[in-house]
Amino acid sequence: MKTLIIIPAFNEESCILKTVNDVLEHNKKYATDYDVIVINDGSTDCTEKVLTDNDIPHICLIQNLGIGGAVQTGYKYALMNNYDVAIQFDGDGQHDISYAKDLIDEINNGADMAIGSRFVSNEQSGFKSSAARRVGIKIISLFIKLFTGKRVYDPTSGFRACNKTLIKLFSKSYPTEYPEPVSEVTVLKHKLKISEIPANMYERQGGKSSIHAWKNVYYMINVTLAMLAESLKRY
Amino acid sequence: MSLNLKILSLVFVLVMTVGILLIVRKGKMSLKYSIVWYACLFVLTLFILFPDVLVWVTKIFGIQVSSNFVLVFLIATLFIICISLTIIVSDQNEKIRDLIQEISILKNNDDFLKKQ
Repeated sequence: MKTLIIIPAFNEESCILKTVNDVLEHNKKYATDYDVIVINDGSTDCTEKVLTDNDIPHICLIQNLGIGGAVQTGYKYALMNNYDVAIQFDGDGQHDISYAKDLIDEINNGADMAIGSRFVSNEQSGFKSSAARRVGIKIISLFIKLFTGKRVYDPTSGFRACNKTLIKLFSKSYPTEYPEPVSEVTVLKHKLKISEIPANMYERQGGKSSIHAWKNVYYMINVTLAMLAESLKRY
Repeated sequence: MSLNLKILSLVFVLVMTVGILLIVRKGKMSLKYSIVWYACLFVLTLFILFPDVLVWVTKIFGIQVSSNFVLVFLIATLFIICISLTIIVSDQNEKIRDLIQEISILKNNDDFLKKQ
């Protein structure tokens, strides 16, 4: 299984190096061969310099595209280089690379998308996010169930693996806004299979969440509308 | 329709026609998009030269005063133009995003080859 780790990074100079090194160390320790590609989404800090100085494979977007456009660049790169599995991985140290193997196993077991989830089991994940945000995630999960009939317990998780079918699909079209929940609706609408596995997550080590606290209500309305629009699309 | 109003309206149409023509000639607007505006101006000219047509159309729509019909007609037209502009912008957004992605990937390949 040729595996690519896609790491979108926007102004992550403080932690991008550690994130990439964690993956490389994991490769050495467990004899895995995950390739890494960092997508620098037009960062205004020294992210580009850090990437170049440390010889980290990366694509520097010539204009800022936002998280959706950055991740899609990774999928396009995966398609061009014929990868079997593409794993999205946050640049800010929230995700734990040791769960990548579980995600790939799920893909091997026939899932089209495998999501590293904080809420799928009772097992205590180190970081479960604030109570308000958990309610938001529950609501999004409910709407996905309403629109597609399937349940996704951690719809906003950015830690997910995709098989070749989805790499192709996402290269062609990937939602620009609120890509995580909306892309799940896309996948389910295509009658493809999503499976979730428990994954430990940490609190972000640097950078800012793309979801600002005071914009929560506005965010929820927008996500819901975006998912509704996606579920009404004809394929 | 008073003569004054007629003359004023015709002058307006003339100025707009020449104005759009100049913009197109400068290459700031493509011919494709100027046609919509010329069509609007054409209808306007029709109403100015033959106000009876306007009165007739107003009656058909069941509107009492011609000026009200003109306002409704204009708002509806602008509405449609605005929506089509939004569609054009969205389409271009997508194309620009594709371009940025492709160029960035190619640039990365290029850097990689140079290093080797």
